[in-house]
Amino acid sequence: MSTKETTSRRPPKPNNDSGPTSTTPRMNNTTMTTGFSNNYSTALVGTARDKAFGVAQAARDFLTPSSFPDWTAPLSHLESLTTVMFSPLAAHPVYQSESLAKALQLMQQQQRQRPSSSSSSSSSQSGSTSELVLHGTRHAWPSSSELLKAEIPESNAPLSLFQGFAATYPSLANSQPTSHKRSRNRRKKHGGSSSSVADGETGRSLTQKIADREQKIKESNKLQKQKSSTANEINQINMQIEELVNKRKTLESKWAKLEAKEQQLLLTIETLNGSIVAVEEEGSRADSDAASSRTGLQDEADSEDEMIYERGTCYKTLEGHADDILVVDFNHPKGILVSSSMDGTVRAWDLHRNRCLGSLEGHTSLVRCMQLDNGTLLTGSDDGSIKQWNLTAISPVPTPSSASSAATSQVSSGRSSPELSGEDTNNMLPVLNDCCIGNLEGHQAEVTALHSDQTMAVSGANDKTMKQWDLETQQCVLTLDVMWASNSAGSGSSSSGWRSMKSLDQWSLDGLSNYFEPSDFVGALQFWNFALASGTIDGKLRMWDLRTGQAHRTLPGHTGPITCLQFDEVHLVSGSTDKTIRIWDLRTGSVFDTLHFSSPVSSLQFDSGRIISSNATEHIDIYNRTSFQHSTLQGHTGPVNSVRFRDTVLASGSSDGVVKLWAL
Amino acid sequence: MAETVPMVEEAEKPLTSAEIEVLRKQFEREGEFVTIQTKFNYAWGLIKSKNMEEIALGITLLTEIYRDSPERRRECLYFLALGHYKLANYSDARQFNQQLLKYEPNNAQAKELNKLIEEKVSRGSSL
Repeated sequence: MSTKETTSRRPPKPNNDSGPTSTTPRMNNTTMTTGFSNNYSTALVGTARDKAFGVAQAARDFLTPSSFPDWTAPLSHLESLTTVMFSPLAAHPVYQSESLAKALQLMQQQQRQRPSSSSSSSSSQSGSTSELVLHGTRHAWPSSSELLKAEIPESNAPLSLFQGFAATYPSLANSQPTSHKRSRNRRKKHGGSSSSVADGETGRSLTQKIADREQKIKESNKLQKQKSSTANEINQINMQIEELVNKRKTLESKWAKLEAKEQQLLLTIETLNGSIVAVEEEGSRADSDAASSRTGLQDEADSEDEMIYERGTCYKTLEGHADDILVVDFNHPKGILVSSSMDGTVRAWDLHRNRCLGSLEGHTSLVRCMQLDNGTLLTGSDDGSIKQWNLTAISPVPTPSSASSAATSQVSSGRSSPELSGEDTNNMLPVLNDCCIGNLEGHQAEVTALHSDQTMAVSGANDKTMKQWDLETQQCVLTLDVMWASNSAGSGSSSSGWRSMKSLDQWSLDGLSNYFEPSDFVGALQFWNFALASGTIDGKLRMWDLRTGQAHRTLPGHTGPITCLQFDEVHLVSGSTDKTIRIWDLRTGSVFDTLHFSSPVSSLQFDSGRIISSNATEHIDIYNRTSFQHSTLQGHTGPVNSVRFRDTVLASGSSDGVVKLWAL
Repeated sequence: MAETVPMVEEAEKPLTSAEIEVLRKQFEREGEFVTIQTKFNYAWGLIKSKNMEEIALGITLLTEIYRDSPERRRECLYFLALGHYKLANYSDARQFNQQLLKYEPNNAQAKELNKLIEEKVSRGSSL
């Protein structure tokens, strides 16, 4: 019950409290400015005395049954000021901070009371106090008057709470029955052992029996109580079960709906596939043999392609970018390839028809990392954001002129079609709208490394953190502070390690194009379920557990910033500006093999048979893991920045501004 | 022992820490769907203690019960009054107790508590 409350409610009643009202602002000021002083307490005590008589009055005022929305607010810190005043311990140092907190609470409370009260005297106070934030209040209970506003219905529970308590924990409830029992037991014992005593034997056994009966009655009462309290609990649990069952039902129906939708979509895809086949067969003869088989099953198409193209040669060059290509990725040898370039654009290419589909607008800066899986593309950019794109929404390219492209250019799986915003003429680049389906914001610097799976993505940025994102909700669920983890894991020398690496960068990057910023903090990362591997500017590889956010392993070895990495169950392969690629055995944590190159390694990918890597030269290196032989792919006219291969097709992007497709 | 509500002295007899531990374990074990009885048991154990923190926690729990279970509110009134009384929040204690007496004017324990609160208040105001 707060003094201030009554103050605010007083105006309709005779105004005998102008005194306290004026003191309260003073009180507030003193508390705020000087902390705790005697003036405060005496002023409060004086006010309290005046208010003491009004307490019951006001309490009765509050007892109107109404719902109180404050309950839903998790932070309803309301504590009565009179508590402080009446407490004999008010002067106790322990309580001083509490009293201050309580005063602050009261101010907040007053602010809340404002809408319900007509007083203007409180408004000025609450206006100034509205910014007050409570820190570290230990006791935060709604004031009793608030609570008492609630309706208190007739208590028709069969068993009072205390009786339930006593029934469950009889030893803790009351000391008397146990002492009774003890004395009764003693009496019983005496009765039993001294059965031979003749005097008053019958009398004693009678009282004994009566005592026994009483005891048994008490016990049965107790059991009854226990039974009913247990029954209550069972009821409660039943209700909870019902709630959960209902929840499950709604979710199941939701799932059924989604299933139905999916079925529908699959059917549409089938029909579209059928129509594509039909149309393609009407197309040019040259394409038709390959095209018809290409519609459904890509594997057949691949084998045909292999026969068509000679191994180790570039069978297609995709031109269009105006500047160095930074990174490429594609989802299928006959699917879509996405490339990002220093000209500021991100282009999508159709690999079946080998033509550009358009550009993906959205990022305000260069895209440094991307991952394309089936229809979803994730791109991380220097603007600190990561965007999600849905590429299945790209419509087939309508080119009335060229004969080689049929009305539908088929890519990976069936598509529904929002329109391209522009005509596909030779000069203009169509902008692919409606593709960006999400934006992951949070990083404070350039995003330089990215990896995703079906539900999660992990990104590394120059703000020295790595973030884990939930792709469905597009929220960051975990942030890994690399500096903190590395410092806590290692000694102080590790921090100097960061600095020395930076200086190392400067001269080792001579040969490399200016694509490489000397400070790509997280050069590469990959994760699989909860295991994350990161390669950072200090040349160390770190393994993290995404469940705990801790780095549990560090693989030192590289003497320059890591630029690329990939791992599978057995090996981790990492490339660095120190001109080496290291192959690590994950079981032992030691280097299995080191490949040396003539210039910093910019990109790599491996599978069971080979490691394909690019460095700052125009050649692409293929290292055969079984024969330990190197071979090169030549064709680019500028340093190759990114390589990516799937099955038998390799895509490479280079500073000469073209993407080349190679048959492997 | 067949009282619906304990006497005020009962609240001054603390439980051993082992006993409180038992109550607390049961409370925590039930997790999100803790039953009112368990919550009350633990809260009552806390209120009986001499430690201010524990009493405060007990009051918090009781307040929750009060808020969430209208049918139990009347009982909670008494315990809330007791708790606040032990913490020397006499105005709160008195408010709760008054309310209780409104509903049950013949409740011996409530009357007893009322007397004690008035005593303390009058002693305090003479400061």
